[in-house]
Amino acid sequence: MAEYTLDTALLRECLASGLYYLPQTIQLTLYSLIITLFLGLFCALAIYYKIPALSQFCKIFLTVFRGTPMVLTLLIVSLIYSSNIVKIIEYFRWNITPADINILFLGVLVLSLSFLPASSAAFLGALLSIEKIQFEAGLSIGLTTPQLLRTVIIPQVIPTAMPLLMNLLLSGCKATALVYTIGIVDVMYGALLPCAKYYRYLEGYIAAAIIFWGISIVLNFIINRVSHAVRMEKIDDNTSFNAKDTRNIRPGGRGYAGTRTCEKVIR
Amino acid sequence: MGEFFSLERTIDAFPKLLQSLNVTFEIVIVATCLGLIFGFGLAMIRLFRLPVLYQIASVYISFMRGTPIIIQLYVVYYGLPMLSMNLFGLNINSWDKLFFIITAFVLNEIAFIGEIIRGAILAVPVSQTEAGYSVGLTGLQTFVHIILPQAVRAGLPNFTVDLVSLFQGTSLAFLLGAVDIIGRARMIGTNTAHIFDPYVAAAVIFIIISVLLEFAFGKIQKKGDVVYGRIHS
Amino acid sequence: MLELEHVKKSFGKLEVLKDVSLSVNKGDVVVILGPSGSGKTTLLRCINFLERADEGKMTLADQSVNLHSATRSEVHAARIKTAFVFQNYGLFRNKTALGNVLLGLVSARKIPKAKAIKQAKDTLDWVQLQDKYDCYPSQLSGGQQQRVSIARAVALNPDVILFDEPTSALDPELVCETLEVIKQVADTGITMVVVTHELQFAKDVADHVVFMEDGYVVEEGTANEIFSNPKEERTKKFLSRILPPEYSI
Repeated sequence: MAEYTLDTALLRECLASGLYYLPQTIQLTLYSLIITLFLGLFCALAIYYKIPALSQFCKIFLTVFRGTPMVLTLLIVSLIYSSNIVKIIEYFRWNITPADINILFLGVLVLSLSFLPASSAAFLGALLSIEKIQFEAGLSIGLTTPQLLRTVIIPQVIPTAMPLLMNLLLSGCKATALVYTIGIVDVMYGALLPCAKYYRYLEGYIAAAIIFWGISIVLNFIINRVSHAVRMEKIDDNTSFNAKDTRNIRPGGRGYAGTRTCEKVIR
Repeated sequence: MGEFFSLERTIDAFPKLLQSLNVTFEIVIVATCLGLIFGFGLAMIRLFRLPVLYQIASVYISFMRGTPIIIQLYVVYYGLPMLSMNLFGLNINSWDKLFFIITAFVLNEIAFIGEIIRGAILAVPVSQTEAGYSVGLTGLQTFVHIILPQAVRAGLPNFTVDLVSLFQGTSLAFLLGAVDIIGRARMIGTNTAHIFDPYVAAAVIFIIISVLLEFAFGKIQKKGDVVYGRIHS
Repeated sequence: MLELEHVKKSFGKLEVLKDVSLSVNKGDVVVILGPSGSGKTTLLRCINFLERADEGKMTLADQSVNLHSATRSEVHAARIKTAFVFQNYGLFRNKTALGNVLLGLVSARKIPKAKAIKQAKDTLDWVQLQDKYDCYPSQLSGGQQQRVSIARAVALNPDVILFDEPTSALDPELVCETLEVIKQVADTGITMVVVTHELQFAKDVADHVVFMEDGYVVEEGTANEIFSNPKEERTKKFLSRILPPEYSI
């Protein structure tokens, strides 16, 4: 590296360029999360009800994507795509060239598949935690299974699965940073654009880091508010070991810590 | 698909890929060990709310957990030489790429494991600490004999998830030029002009090892469950 | 043996103990009664410093400490002299019954291991848990857990044992057997302070009954005095609410 100081002008340029593509990143996150929620619920239900063939297929499917790093999935999918897209265009006789296609959908595809293990685990865990009696009571009053699911079970599953799904939101947003490797235009791509001119990449990555950090802070804030609104216990920052800090300990001996749940950490 | 994918070539690639497994393991082991040591310190800082350190720790954790690991890799890779030049006048540009990669993962793990440890310790009910005090144990004794064993049990599921995700995260090392599993796969691809097969082989290796890790830790957890009963207070 | 003078404690804006003084003679069993929120549990927890009082002086076995400004070593000394039986048993979940009793002996009081093991086993036998040495709390019933907790307290050979509503978390059929064990403890002549709602137990065992309400000691006396002849209006009201009908006030 020729210089050893930070080029703040370049940094600002990268920030602006990165922020310009923020909507793309948001779209990526949103679309893939919505798809993964539906697919995750579907898989969880299939596994929970032990539907023959379908549940085994889902389990294998989930194992594959739980074990494969997202970057590898990206490489493989993009490889399959680029090798075959021409053939597909010819086969369907579309009137387009490969360059016309917005490969955003590839990113959404890979992201939703990579999130699938986490979302189905969230739903499956929530399903398993619902007592059998809820199902039995619903069936005993004459509900069919689809009605039962729609009116009784899923409304209970969603709040229970919320903490894990919120985690998924946070880590999902970070995961979108990888899709630039297959050429998708998002914040990363934008932040690195100005760097190509000067061959200095540090400022670009720092800009991208700042943008993602900001996103995560905003998301965390929103999630905290939503959690409070839905009254879920979570580990908050108001806990400490200091004995003098008796505001957290109420008479009767039940300290605050007894009501805490341990959040699952997904990178 | 014969040109594109061949089972024979895929199976062929396996032994060659496994050679690079040691790079992956090196990253995982160093990051996990240093992560545990310094993460514990970080957790203590946050739990005891030590004045200035608490704020620094919170910012550090927020950054490490809020930014994607790929960006952290590149920032360390490009930024550390600059930092070292400014602070120490030391030119480390020529150092092995693996050093930067491991450093980035270590920094990341410290934050994640620190939070896992903090959560695990907080998950042990206050009543256990009170019982320890009431029996005459000092704070340190209570922590070592009562809290720590239960915290380990409480934190194990999260730690497993983190370990598996670290293992998969090392797959990004090839972007910086390290020859780990994927790096080796790409080498094979350029040599044989067929890159799809080594990728598939690499995916299979990752899947098998991830499953093994989860299985092993699942067994350890089950054993804990039998001994202690379910810890839900 | 134990003397508390002018103890005050607030949690934020809530004044839980407004001015409480208590005197316990050696060998006495003192029962503290009162409605919830009266501060009985908080008072107990101030004695072994699980709560830090805002004001007050405590004299325990001829040693005086200021409850608010006690140093770490004074706090530790107080905890060594006392033992606490929690409402929710307070057993160490990662230790067996034997381990629970042992820990205080070996680590806190530095008793040699062999002697400690014998002492622990003897105490567990004494509460009829001789075949449960190696069971974890999760494998024991509520009543058994509470008995381990009592055994743990007794084995430590403290100057005072503090009981915080020891039977409140138990199923009704287990309450009786636990109270029997507590009576057993009282028969050994050890000083006890018991917070409870079990009035028959208080009548049978207490040397001294204290009625607390709203952060104050309203009335105190022997069990007979309090139950048959309460002087204060508030005492009468409380008792009339919870006493069985044969005690007409």
